[in-house]
Amino acid sequence: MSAHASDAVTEPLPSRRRSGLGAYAYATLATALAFVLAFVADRYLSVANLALIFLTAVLAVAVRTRMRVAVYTAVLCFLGYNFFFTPPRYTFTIDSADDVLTVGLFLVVALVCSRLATQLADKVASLRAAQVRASALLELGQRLTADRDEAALHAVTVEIAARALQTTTAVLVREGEPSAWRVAASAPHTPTLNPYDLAAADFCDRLAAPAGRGTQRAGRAHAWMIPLHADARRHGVLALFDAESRDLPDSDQRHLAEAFARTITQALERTRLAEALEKARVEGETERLRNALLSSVSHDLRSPLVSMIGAAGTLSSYETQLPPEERRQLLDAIVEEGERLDRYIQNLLDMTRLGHGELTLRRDWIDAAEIAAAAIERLRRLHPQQRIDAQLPREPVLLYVHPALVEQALFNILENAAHVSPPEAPIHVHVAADEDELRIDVTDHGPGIPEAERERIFDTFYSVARGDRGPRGTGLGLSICRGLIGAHGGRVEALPTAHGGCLLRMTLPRPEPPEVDA
Amino acid sequence: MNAASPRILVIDDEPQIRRFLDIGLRAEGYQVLQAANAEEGLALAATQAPDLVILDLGLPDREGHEVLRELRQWSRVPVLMLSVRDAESEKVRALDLGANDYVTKPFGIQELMARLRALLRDRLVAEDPETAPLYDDGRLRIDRLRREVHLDGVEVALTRKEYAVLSMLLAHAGRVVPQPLLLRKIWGPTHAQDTHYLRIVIARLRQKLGDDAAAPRWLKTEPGVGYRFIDAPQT
Repeated sequence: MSAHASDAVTEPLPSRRRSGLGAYAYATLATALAFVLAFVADRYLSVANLALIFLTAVLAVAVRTRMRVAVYTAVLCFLGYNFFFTPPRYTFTIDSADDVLTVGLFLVVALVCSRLATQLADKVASLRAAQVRASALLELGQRLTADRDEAALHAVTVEIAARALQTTTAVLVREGEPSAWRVAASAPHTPTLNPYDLAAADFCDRLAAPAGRGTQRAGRAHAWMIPLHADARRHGVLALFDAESRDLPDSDQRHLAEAFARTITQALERTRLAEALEKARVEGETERLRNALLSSVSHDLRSPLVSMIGAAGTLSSYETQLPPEERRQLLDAIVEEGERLDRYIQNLLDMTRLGHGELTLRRDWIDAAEIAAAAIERLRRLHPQQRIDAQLPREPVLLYVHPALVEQALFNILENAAHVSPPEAPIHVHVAADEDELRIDVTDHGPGIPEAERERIFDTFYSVARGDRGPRGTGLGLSICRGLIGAHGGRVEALPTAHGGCLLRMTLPRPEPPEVDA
Repeated sequence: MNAASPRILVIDDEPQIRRFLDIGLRAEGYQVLQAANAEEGLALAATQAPDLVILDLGLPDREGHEVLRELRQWSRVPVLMLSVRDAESEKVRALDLGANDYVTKPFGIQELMARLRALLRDRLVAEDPETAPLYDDGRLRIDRLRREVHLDGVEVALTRKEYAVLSMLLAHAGRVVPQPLLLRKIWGPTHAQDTHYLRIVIARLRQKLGDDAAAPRWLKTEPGVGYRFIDAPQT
C-alpha cells in the first residue's frame, strides 16, 4: 500500500551552510585564487576592472557561507586590492582620486552583494528545507493511513523520521510503571536507554513538553524527546538520539520532529478510535446474536419439551382410557421430539464453538462417499418415508477434513431439504469431484428460495429470526453449515434449479492425493 | 426369572437412564444388575460375574477408561460403552482398551438391544471368533482357508490388503473394529495414523462387492471410529 510514496520523496535536510573555520578557510582560498587571477589579468586589464574579479570571489563566498564570512572576504579583497594593485603599489595609500572612488565603491558593492547573496542562499535553503519537510510529512501521512495497527504506525514513523532528520529516531512507550520505558520502534539503530533517557522520557510524558538533551529537564540524556499526546491520551514520546551531542537539535530538526509527532499522534488516535468503534460494533452484534439465540433457545428447546411433557403427562393420566393407536402416537411423539431436541442442542453447541473461535479441526483422511453415506443414513433414520436418490462417485475421493463436522454440515442441508420437500418427491444427492474440488449437490423439490433471499438463508440472524417457527425447521442449521464448511476452506451456496426447487451446493477443496499402500 | 437368561450389569450414574435400561432389558428377558459409580460397578462385576457390562464413560468417581482397564485385568466379559457424540477419539481409545462396542447417547433402545444381541451371540458361539472358517450368506461367500471370496458365485479378485481388511472385519462380524487396530494389524504399527490407506481399501472393497456406502449390505462405516461387518441384515 505504501510503496507509491517512494523513498526518493524524502531527502535529508540540506546540509547547513558553512560558518566555522572551514568557511573562513574557504573564503581565504577563494580570495587567494582571485589574487592569482588578478595578477595574471593585471597585464591586460585596467586596475578598475580588476575589481570585478574580486567581486566575483566575494559573491562566490557569499552564496555558500554566512554573512560575516562574506564581509571578511570583502574586507580581505578590499585590503589586498588596495595594497597590491592601486598605485602606488605595495602600500595602502592611493594616489588618484579615481582609484579611491574605485576601491571605496568596490567595498560598498561587495558588502551589498554579499548581503543580497547570503539572503538569497538562505531563502533557497529554507525553501528546500520546507519542501523536504513537506514531502516527508506527506509520505508519513500517506503511509500512516495505509497501516492500521500501532506497531506498524510506529515502525513507519521512525523509518521516515530517521531518514528526514538524519539521526537515530525512536518511539518510546511506557510499560506500566514510571520509568519503565520500552523502545517500541527505532531507526536506523536501536538505542539503549540510559537512566538519563528514562528520566527525560518521564519528564516529557508527565509535563507534556520537550525534555532531554539541550533542555532544562534531564539535559544529560542522549535524546531530545517530545510527547506524543492527544488531549489527555498519552501515546508515548518521540526521541531524537545523538550519541555525541548534548545540545538541542537545530530548529529545522525540532520543527520537523514536532510535525512528525503531531502526525503520528493523530494516526495513533485514529487507530485507537477505530479499534474502540470496532469493539463496540462487535459487542453490539454479539449482543444481538445473544438475544436472537436466547429467543431461539427458548422457542426451539421448549417446543419439543412441551410436546414431550404433554404426551407423557397424557399417557400417565389416561393410559387405560386411551385406545392402543393413540397411545402409540403419543409414545412416538415423545421419541421424535426428544430426537429433535437433541439435534437442536447439537446445533447450538456447534454454533457456540464456531462463535467463540474454539472450533479445532481434527482432520483425517476420509472418502467423500463415506461422509455422504453417514449423513444420508442419519436422515433415513430420522425420516424413514423420505425418498433419497444418491449418486456417489465410483472412485474414492479422499478429503482431508474433520469428518464429523462435514457430515454435520451435509446433514443440516439434507434435513433442510427434507423439511421443505413433499415426502413423495425424492431428494437428490449428487457427489462429484474434479481434480481440485469436491462438489456435493443436494436438490429438493420444495418451493425453492426467491433469489433475493438465497444468500440470506445462511445468515445467522435470518435463520434465527425464521427459526423453527414451522413444525420441523433446522433453525441455525444452514448458517452453521456454512460456518463448518468455511472452516475447511470450502463454501456453500444456494442455486436455482430448472424445476423450481432449490439446489444447495457444498464445495470442498481436494488435497494432494497421498501415497497409498492398498 | 429364568436362571439361564444373561445377566447384564449397568454402570451409570444417572438414575433415570438406569431405570429405563432396567425396564427395557428386563422386558427383553435379561437379568439386570445396577451400579451408580465405578467402585460399585467393579465390585458387582467381580462378585456377580455378569454376562455383559454396559458402562457409561462419564462416571462421577473414576474415568470410564480407567474402569475399563481395571476390569480387563481380570475379566473378558463383553463391555458395551455409552458415549457422547463428538468424542470419536474417546470411543477409539476405549475400544483399544478392550471395550467391545459402543452406542452414542442419546440412543434408541432398539439399537442398544441389537448391539447386545451381537455381543452375547459372539460369546455363545466362540470365545475366539477367528475360528469360523467359512462365511456364506447366499450372495457373499468368504472361504478363509483358501482365502477366496465369491460374490453371487463369481470369484472376486482382491489384493492382499483388501482381503486382510475384509477378513479381519468378518472375524469381528457385527462388532465395530476401530480403525487404528485395522491399520496396526494389517499395515503395521508405524501406520496406525495412515487412515487414507484404509479409506482407499474400503472404497475398493465396496466397489468390488457392489456395496453401497449409503446403504451398505456388508461394510458399514462407523464415522470416526471404524468399520463393522454386517453379517445379518439389520432389522
